[in-house]
Amino acid sequence: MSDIQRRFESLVGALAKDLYRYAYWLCRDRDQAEDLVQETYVRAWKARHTLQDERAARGWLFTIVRREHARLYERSRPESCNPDELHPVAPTDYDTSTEAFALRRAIAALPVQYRNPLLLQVLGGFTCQEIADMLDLTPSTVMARVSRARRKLRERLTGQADKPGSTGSGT
Amino acid sequence: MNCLEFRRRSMVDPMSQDAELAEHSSTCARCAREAQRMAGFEQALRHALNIRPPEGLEARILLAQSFNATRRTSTVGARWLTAAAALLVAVGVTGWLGYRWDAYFGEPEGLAMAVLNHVNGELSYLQVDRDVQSNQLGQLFAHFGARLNSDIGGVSYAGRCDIRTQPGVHLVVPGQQGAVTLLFMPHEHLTEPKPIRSDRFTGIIVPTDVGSMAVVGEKGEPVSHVAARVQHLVVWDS
Repeated sequence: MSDIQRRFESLVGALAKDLYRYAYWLCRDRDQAEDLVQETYVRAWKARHTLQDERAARGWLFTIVRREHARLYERSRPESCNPDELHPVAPTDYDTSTEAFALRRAIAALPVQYRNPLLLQVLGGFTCQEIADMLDLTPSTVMARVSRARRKLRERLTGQADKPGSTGSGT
Repeated sequence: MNCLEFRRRSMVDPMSQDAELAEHSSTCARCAREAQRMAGFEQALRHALNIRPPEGLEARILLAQSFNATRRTSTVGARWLTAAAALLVAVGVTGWLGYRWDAYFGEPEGLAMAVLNHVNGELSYLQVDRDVQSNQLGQLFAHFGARLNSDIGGVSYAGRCDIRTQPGVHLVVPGQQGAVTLLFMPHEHLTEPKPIRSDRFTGIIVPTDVGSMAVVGEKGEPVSHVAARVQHLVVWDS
C-alpha cells in the first residue's frame, strides 16, 4: 500500500465519524449525510496533492463537507423547514430521553448562520478564530453567533420545560 | 474580570479552561453556579449532537475511493493505450504490422497480454490487507448486474477496473503461493480457457456466463482450481 493511501486511510479512520455528524446536522438526513461524507473524501482524494499540511486536514475536510452541502442540497432544502419534520433516526442510534429529543429539535430549528458555527465548535473542535477563517467571518462575529446559538437553545428548552410532560433542559 | 465578562465568555465557550475564568469562578459563587449550569447544558448539547454514524461507513468511503483511484489509474493507462493504438493504426495502414495488431489487441492473445499488463500495473493491490465485507462485494458486483451466491472469502482488495477500456471487477484473494488476482470481465468473451504466463505469474482466463474471468497468481499457484471454485460464485444477469 502506498504511503499516500495509508495517510488517506488514517484520515478516514480519524475523521469520518465527526464529518458524518457534521453533515447530518447540516442536512438532517442520514442518507444525504453519508453521500456528503463519501463525496467529501472522493474530492479530498482527487485533491490530495494540494494538501501541504496534514494538520490542516481536519479544517479542510469540514470545509469540503460544508461546501458540498451548499452545492448539492442547500438550494433544494429551504432553511425555514419545520424542525418537527426532522428526518427520523433509528431509535437505537441515539439517546431517546426527552431532554435530548427537545435539544435535537431546538438545534434543527436554529437558523443556519447560528447552527453552523456552533456545530464547527462543538463537533469539529475548532476555535473561534479557525471558524472565522473557514466561514470568512470575523472572530467577534463567530463569538457572537455561537453565544447567541446557545442562548436560543436554552430559551427554546426553557419554553419546552414549561409544557407538561417535558423535563426541560435542566439549566 | 467582572461577572458580565465572565458570563459573556462562558457563553462563547463553556468548556474553556481559561485561567481568568477559573479565577473569577473561584471567587464568585453566583458565577460558579452559572458555570456549572452551562457545563451541564454543554454536555447535554454534545450528547444530543452525537448521532451514531452508520455501520461500515469507513469501509464504504474506502470502497468509493478505490473506484476513484482505479478509474484514475485506468484513465491514464487508457490514454497510453489510445496513443499506442493510434500509433499502431498509423503503422498498420501501411500493412506492415497487421499481424502484430492482432497479436496485441485481438483475441485471445491480446486479452491475455492486457490482463498480465493490468496485474503488473496494479501490483500494489497485492499488498493491500483490508478485509472486504461480503455486502461491499455485493454492491460492487451489483454495478455490473451480477450477484454473489456465496462468500468468496478472504478478499483483501475489491475495486472497479478497466481492461482494454471496458469496465470490470478487480479482486485480490489469498492463494497458496501468495495473493491471487481475480478479474471479472463481462465485456471480454472467450470460447475456451486461455493460459497466461510470465516470468513471475501464472494464470488462466476462463469463459463465464457473461464475458470471462481471469485468475492470476504467483508461479506454482493452482489457478485452474481457483477458477473452478470462484467461477460459479458470481451469477450474472444475462
